[in-house]
Amino acid sequence: MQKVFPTQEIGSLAKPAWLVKGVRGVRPSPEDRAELDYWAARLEIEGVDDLRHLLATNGERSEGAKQAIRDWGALFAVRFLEAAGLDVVYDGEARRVEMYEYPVRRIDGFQFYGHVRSFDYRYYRKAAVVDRVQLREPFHLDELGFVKRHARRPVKVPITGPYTLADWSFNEYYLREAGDIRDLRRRNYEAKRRFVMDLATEVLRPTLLALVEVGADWIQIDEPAATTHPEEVPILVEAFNAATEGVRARLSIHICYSDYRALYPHILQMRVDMLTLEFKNTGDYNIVNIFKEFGDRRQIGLGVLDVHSDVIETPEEIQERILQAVGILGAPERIWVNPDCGLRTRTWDIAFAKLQNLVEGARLARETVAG
Amino acid sequence: MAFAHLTGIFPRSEELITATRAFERGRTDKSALDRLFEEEAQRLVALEVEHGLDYVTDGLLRWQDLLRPLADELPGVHAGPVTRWFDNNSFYRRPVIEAPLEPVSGAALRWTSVRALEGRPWKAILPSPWAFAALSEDRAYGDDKALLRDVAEVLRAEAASLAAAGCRYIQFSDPVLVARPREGALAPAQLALARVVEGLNVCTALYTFFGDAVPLLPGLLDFPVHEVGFDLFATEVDRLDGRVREQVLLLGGLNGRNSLLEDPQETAQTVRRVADRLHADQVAVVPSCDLEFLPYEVAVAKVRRLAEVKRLVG
Repeated sequence: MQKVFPTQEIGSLAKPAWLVKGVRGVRPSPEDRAELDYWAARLEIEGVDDLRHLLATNGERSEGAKQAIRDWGALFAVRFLEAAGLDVVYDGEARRVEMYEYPVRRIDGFQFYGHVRSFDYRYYRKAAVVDRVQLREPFHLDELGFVKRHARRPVKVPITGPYTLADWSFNEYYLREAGDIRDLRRRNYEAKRRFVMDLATEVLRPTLLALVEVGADWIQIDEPAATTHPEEVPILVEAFNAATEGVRARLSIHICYSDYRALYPHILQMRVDMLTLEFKNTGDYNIVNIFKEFGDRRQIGLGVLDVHSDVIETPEEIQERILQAVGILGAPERIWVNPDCGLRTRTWDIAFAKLQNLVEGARLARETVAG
Repeated sequence: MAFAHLTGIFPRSEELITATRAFERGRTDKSALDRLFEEEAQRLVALEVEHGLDYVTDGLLRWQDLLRPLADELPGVHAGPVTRWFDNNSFYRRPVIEAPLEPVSGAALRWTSVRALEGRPWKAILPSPWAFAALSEDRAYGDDKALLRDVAEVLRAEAASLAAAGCRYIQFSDPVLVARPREGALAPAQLALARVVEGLNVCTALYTFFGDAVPLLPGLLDFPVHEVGFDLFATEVDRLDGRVREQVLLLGGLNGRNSLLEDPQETAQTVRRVADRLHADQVAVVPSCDLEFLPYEVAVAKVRRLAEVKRLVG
């Protein structure tokens, strides 16, 4: 019987300075190298002399050298998540700029204009769709292959979903295409739908099928924009189902910083095995009630770490949150435990301490339900 | 007669973005960042002047969100959880009110590049009392009416300090009234705003955005301000019905949330059509919302379009 409250990561980790500088052709500083040494020792990573050698010089590096540095970045992240004790791991998205720009740069039809603010001093580069979207070639395949070869735990590959890719872009092409619709609000909706569905069928689905082909058995589709426009949740669901048509893998969806009530009832039509959600940020675990209210029997990934705070949640606090969810759902076997979102904005020290406590909190909760 | 001006936070330039990131990572100090904020505010004011905007703003460049100066400066209030900002891929920190509010006066002013604005027809922007109360988390009152009353006192002090500093126009921004409409909201929202602007000797405006203004008309036109307006991209304009009293009508005719640059002729026609429907003699063409949802260069291009539309509307 599988243990209850298994633990998983959600996606991105901070990129170590030696990785960022190394790829840029800048020799890491003594502090950066000390950090590398510290984590290499702590994570018991062997053969690091090769990496030190790669990083030893300043100046433009060959593609092969960049690739090798990225491989090391991915390996460190895999070992980091394993050492923290998680049951399911990936590579902290060590090779991706971030979750939006990385895929968009692999799709024809987009043009980048510049940064927009997410919040505070956080920004992301936002593109406009200026032509019909077309996939150049499926992405994340080499990345997954590397992780599969090196991970000692089961692997889950994250990929940004079609709705979020569209929602985080300016829609120029599809709005022009829908110009025959007179009513402006209806025109916007239809243009959005066409954009999202093209991304689902022309970009995501071939990529997901290719990922399964190279060994993906669990794919997490990230849709943080899911409830941004509540009236568009039907588009989210339609696109998810179209993108995953015929994809033979376990499927989860990650949604965060959203109004989960807006997902229902439409999300009941989504062919997905698990909903992985953020809760710690708001502290509102009672929202788990909506699963019960709508008779949603799918698995839930319970967010128990605030990824925007350096405060380390205690194992007891995490245990309590898990048990609170158990109290509401009455189904421990359906609950997974994870951070609210990717931990990329935290240092590795903070992220590691948080994840260790997450694992310990899950263990304590497991003991409690075992009686 | 047509006017034009900006209605909210302006995006930071790529250079300023780089500097804010460096600041957050401890690679630059606050004084260096402040200097860049100041320079950028001056450049923005120059852009607004060059394009004939009737009021100028500093773009609220330092503001992390519409509510942040108050969340950071009011005793007993702090900037809380990261929360989605309406239907955008951007977030604000929800103010958490832990103790009864006390006006501090000058909170917004301290976050404003006053030097860039001095001697100009300067427009300031504050949240409406209704919006601030609705977008905060109340842990102190447990009574919406008392909370709204005290928020109004806080904003009254803020508005007074802005006016004393030389500001000529204060816009109260309210996405809540239209994007999260609630039965019976208009009367208390109006009463609270009336308290804020009472005795204030500057031009005042209520600007709503992100939601359809149709259900709020004609009541929206009764607010005790000199100018009132709404977002044409979120409003079913053909269903608008009402009669403007003597106010200037603020019409959000340039989309602050899409990079597609509007055809000035088409926008001018829409603005005229809406002005006719509401019997408005005077209109101001404005962006539909803050331009901060656009990259800097696109926002600059929108300012140029704004000036063109103003010219065409006449």
